Amino acid sequence: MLVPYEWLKEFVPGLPPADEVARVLTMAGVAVEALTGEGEDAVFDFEITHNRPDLLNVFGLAREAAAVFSLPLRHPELAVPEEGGAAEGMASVEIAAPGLCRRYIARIVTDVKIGPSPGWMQARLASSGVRPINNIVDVTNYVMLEVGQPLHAFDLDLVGGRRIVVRRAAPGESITTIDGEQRRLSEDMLVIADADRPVAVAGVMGGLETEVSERTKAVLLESANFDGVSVWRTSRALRMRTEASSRFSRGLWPENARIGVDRAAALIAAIGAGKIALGMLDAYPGREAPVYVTLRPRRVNHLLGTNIPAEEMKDILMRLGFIIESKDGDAYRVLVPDHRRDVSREEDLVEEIARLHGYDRIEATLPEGAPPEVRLDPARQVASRAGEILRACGLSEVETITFTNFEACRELRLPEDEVERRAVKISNPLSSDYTMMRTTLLTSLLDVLKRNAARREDDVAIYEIARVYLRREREDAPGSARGDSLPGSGSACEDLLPCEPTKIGLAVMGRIAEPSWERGAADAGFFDLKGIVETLLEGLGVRGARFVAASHPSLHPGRTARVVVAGDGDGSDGDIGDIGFLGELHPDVREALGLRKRACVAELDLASILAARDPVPRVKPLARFPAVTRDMAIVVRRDVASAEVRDEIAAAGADLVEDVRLFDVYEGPQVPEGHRSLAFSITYRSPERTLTDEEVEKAHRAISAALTEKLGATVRE
Amino acid sequence: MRDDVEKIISQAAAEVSAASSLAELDEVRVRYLGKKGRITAALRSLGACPPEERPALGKLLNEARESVEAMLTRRRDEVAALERAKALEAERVDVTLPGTRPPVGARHPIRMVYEELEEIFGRMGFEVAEGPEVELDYYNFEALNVPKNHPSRDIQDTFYISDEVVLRTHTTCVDVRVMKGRKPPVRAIIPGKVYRSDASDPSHLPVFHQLDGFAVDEGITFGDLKGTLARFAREFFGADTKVRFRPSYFPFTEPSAEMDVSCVICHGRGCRVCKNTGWLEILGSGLFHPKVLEAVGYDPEKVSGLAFGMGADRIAMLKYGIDDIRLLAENDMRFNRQFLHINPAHIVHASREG
Repeated sequence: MLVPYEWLKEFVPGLPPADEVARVLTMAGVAVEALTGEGEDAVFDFEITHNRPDLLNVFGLAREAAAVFSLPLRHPELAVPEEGGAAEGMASVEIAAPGLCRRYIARIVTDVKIGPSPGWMQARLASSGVRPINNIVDVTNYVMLEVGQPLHAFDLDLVGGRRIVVRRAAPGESITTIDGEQRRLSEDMLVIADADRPVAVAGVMGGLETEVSERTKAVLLESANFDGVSVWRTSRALRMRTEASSRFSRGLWPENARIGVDRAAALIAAIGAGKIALGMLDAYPGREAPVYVTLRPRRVNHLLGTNIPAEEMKDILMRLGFIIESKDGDAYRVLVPDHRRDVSREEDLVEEIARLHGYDRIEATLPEGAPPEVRLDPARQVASRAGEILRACGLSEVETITFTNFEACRELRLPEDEVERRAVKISNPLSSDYTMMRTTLLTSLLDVLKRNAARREDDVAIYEIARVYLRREREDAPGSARGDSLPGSGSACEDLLPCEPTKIGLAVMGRIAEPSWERGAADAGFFDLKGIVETLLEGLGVRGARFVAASHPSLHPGRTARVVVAGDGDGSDGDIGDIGFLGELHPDVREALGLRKRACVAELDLASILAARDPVPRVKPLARFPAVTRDMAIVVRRDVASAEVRDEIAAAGADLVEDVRLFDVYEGPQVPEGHRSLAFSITYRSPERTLTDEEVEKAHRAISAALTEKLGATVRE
Repeated sequence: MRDDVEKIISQAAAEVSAASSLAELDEVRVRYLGKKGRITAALRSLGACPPEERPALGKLLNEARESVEAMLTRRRDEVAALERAKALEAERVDVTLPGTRPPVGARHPIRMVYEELEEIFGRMGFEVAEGPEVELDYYNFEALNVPKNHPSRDIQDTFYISDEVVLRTHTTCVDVRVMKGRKPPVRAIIPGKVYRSDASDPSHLPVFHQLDGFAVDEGITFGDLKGTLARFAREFFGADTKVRFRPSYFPFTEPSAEMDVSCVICHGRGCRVCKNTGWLEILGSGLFHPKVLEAVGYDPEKVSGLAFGMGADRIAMLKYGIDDIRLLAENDMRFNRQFLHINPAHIVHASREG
């Protein structure tokens, strides 16, 4: 809010120079965002906090500055030179909706001479950012800026029946406001009506038909107090934010209506814009009881950690217009001034005392006593470790926007009915790009690949550990979202919230390592990403993860795997669960995204990893006896999974097989059509003794026989 | 015979020093010390000498053999060193060729900031808590003294899912969730994403990051708030960082304060980033409003709490000299990869001349 320094100084003549005013008021909580101009021509731009509508005007700021600087305050001239007939006989005012209008004052101005307002008034309006219009309208704007009371001037001769009724709009009513827009009104909106029709939207904007014009001879000057919540809702519904509506929304006090109307009348008379009729029409059904707050100086010091004397506290409050009425023991009864509707309990006084005493004078301390024990969340620790492993594998961390849209899901060929069913949709989205929360990290990670590819960056290896958002379905156990696991939030409403599982997402496009002059560099493929996933799972203490051929709408049908792992190890047979998937991007999806190089992605569920972790890993004793390593090459049908062969080797070798490592896969002329050769290196070892050649040979032959019998394999010599 | 022996030795010496490879040395050895070598032959022919000369001659020949062997050994070491040197010379590389680097991924600056904040506050006994991002209106607003259908909702532009459910506009709602399940003393920080319906521009994103924190106990004071946050500022921005507290307004704290730190760019002398004020606005804070304490079942007469909230994006931008918040969400690899070389131990900002 722009306020000229000289206007402020009119009310507080002793004010120090503008830059000091700016500095001191800012440190007292009245923030000056900018100071422009020099000396007496300086203009402040105040940023007024939401709790202080009383500061949205020059006089309110002057009152605050006088309190802060302990300077005397001058009040605006409110004496009204009344003449002619009584207002009573010239119009009537009725409040039909007293819940929404605490007070409505009307003064009548006769013998109106519309013309420009005086230069000094125009100058102050201009430096406050308001365009001058004519003397009557300028006075209403000037008074709003000066004392914070929105006013409206009606052409009295155009007000039907010279009658003002403050009521809710009737069904189907509408009004053309002074900006020329036709507004449809609803029954929860408060209007100012004449005998026939609405003539203003209360507290928001006046009507075009009763607007003051060149021809106006008499004016009805409105100064009212409307319910802030009602004005706020109406201005939102009509999408009209005006100076008046924002002031009413933030809360005005009924006593200010009297100050506003008298100040306006005094100015109209002073500048010769009209004559002020005797008295006023004052409907005041909402007179408020005075507000008292208890002040206990001990408690103030207890909360602030200070030793401010009670006398200083009283002095501060009195400077701010509070009245110390009485004392009961250690407690004072403090009367809150009308304009401080934000103060309703003792803590509010604590802030008043603290800010005028000076926050900078309060000593900085640390909380007493030993800090409480810190509880570590295993999920956070695992996530942090996962990040370390993935960075060591060459993947960079990304932090993506959690929104997506249907089109992006369609691009990834995600099934529409599932997206529709599970996605959390935003009812007031900002743009068509961000209409819902993501259901998978794929949308976000592939968006990163797409953006980078568009910038000719074709080698991208990334990961993100973040949440996806899934609308709760009946089978989802309540409390499966991380945030829900907090105790004590057990309201039934929690069911309205989606699940927010944390996922580990990986995406690799092109090369992972920098190309080397010595060794060149190949683009990463399925097995590079699988290797990273294996490294990750092992590093997190998940043993026995298995990869099973699978399908996923976004992925290559022959290069997709589910990652399956033994569950929490409680021994039950069905204790196997999916912890995620990985695969190469489907070429159609890759083309749709404009990626030039192949890309592989994976998504793993953090909670499942946590459940599958070896809970208490222990160091194994080092082997005391030597190992024997023997190779075995077999030819099997192409559709026999290598994992199946490996498992068979481990099973047939009984306790002597320590490790089975695949080191070669061959398909070609020397192998029959539809078959392939797999070469394994098998490590035999006993924890109890050195194995003899005979024992190893026997085990090796048993394995060979089992592979032949169970998998139809031919063992190559 | 004696002369012969000396001749043999001197010839052997000449041949040993002439040999320039291990193979040639071996030939010399065979020629003198082999089964048919000259010294071996001489020793074998000792029987043909007169018996009284044999001991002296034998001794002489043995000495000759030892001397030749010593020469051979010495020369072998020399030649081996020469050959090794030659081989090494052949393996010489251009050490200025680039090294073969293992791939290493970079951290995201937001995560680095969070990790550092968690460490700093962890040392002061704050645990890390989390809560839902899709949140009940109750926790996001009502429990924090922002009633439904109230003009104070204008302070933040909110994404709604339904009448009862919003995308949280701050992480402060988790304060309420944590306190509700616990008895004081509790100290916690809450990192996480928050949402406001602001269009993207160099300083706004609809999704950004906050860190809220609070400490509730008997006897927590405004002075404790100042001390805790000043310590954070010094540990995070550097030991010479100054702080100041300005009165402000938040519905859920009373008294409320904004904390400024001395500008990390110009150290208080005035620059573009601090708009020539020398100060940077860093966080909002205060003592919990009694209504918030009441909402979680605490007695405000007995318990008080300090609370604060800051934007992690803004802090990352200040700490790492990032001038556009959108860089933090775009994940342009040319940006992300720079954080391979930047870590929290750096205070990365322009020089004092900035």
